Amino acid sequence: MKDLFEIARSGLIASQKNSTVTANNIANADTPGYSRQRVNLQPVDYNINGSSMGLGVKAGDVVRVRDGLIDKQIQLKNQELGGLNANSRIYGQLESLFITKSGGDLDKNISDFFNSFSDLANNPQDINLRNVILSNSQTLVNKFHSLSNGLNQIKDETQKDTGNIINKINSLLKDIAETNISIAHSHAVGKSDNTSKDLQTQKLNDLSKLIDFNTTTDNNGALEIRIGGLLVLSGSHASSIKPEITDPGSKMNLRLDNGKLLNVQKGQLASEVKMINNVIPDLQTKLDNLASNIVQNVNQVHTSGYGLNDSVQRNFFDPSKTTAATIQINQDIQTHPGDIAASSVAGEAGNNQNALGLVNLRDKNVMNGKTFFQNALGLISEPGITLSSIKSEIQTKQSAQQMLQNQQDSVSGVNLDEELSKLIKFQNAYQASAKVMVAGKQMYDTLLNMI
Amino acid sequence: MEQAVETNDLSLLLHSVENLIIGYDQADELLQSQIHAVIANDFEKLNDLISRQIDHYEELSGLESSFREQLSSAYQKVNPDNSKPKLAKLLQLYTGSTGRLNALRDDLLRKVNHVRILSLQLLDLLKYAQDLNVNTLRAVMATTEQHGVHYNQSGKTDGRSISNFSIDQKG
Repeated sequence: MKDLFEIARSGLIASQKNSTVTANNIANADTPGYSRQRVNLQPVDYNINGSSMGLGVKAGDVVRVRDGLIDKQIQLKNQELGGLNANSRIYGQLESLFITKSGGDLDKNISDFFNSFSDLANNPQDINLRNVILSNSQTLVNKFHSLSNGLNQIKDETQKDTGNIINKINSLLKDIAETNISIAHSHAVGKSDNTSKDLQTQKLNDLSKLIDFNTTTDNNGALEIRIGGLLVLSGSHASSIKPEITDPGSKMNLRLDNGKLLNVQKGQLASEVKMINNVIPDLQTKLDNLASNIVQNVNQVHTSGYGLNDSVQRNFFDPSKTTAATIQINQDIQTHPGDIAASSVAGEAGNNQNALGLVNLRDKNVMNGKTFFQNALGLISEPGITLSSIKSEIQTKQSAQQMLQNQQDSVSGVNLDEELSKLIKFQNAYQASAKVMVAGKQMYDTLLNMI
Repeated sequence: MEQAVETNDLSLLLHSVENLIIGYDQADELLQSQIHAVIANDFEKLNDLISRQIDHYEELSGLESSFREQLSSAYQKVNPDNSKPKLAKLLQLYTGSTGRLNALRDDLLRKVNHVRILSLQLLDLLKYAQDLNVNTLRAVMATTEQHGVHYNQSGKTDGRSISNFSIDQKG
């Protein structure tokens, strides 16, 4: 009997760094003269039934309650961080696309384009200045093309990555289903397959980085997993997920092999799907709108004026190509820079009124109550601003995740009274620290207003 | 009648800004330590850091008052009607060389902003830790509806039922 309790005692000590009293109490529960202190002595029930291993099993019951809580918290943090890390990576790519180290970005290209009309207005007959306009226009057109292509490339790469993630998820679901078989088998004969349970926990942690899910345990001790409310794993059967894009440009759907549509909210997969379905298309739409507005507004003014050579009123940009991917300079203008309409009167080569009209477009709030330059600046800054906020969020969540990990790794078993007391003490300390932080924030704000 | 900002005014301000920079460097360290203490669940260290943080706020508050007085005094000379003195504006209005003070101002601005962000991150972490504690307390309470068994001096169970329980985080 003494040996059996010794096994239980040593087992608990191994997993309970800060609770020697608890372990000692359990190990000595049936020792005559020993005064029980503050610990769960439920294991003695098993001794009465002649099963000394009951000590461990009972402790395991408690472990599961606590483990479930911490594991769930870690998995939730994994889901959030998995999504944020995916967002961070893709927004990083978008930021690099829109903001270059050379500084030749869309806002500058738009600015250069309109400024070159300003130079022409000073000398409307100068053919060299007209060539400068063509050169700046081509640079602007090329920038729209490269940004549009870049967005498509990022979307394509994200779609490929989504395929890889889905393969990993399907593989993990199969692995978990296999552990279920082993766990249920042991459960049927009244044993606990701790090795498979450990493996299952590890696989669940891996899965939580990729996708959000809920778990329940069936009567056989096997795990059931639901994603978006749909059962994807039950017993030894794991469903598989498939990506579905009906035609280019349409949205990506996720479908189970039973045909049901899957709705994911968190994790790497949800973030990437959101990027493919919303974020990148929204940026593409904004870019297209900017190109289209520039084409329409510049053409509207340009067609009211005349070039040096004739009295024909021409579009500056090809009016049939109004997206960022297709925008083009009118072929006539490209071939004959003299056709750039600086004059408002046919035959008056020295007239600059139409060139001034084009310059005025630079400072007009023609789109969303803002100038073209401001719209471009807002568009190219958007990924960087979002990325900065995501990075800060990642830092905070990583801290929380690390805290959970430490909690799981530290005290493995403690007395309830001590634990409650500690929790309350911590709660008070947290509250005190938070109050001090709030006071500090007022001071920082005051100083920031003075400097 | 407006007076000119004197070199001495700027020299006092320069000294004040230098002190504030040192103060905010210390605030940065204290906040980093608090974040680590919360993450490490180090109650003793956290309590110690809270006390140090309060003391440090008093120091910072003193430095800030001194800075405010010097700034107001210098600012009054160039803009007596404006009740909201600002160092950046003062430096714009001053005709002499302000290179060193400008650089220190930028440095201070950066440090205060960084400390502000750190304090917000710590607040987020504290909020999370508090919520986690509350959830843990609830889970513990739910679990302890199963009462423990009490043992008498001879190691035998007696009829009493005590609500206590072993929490295992490791598994």
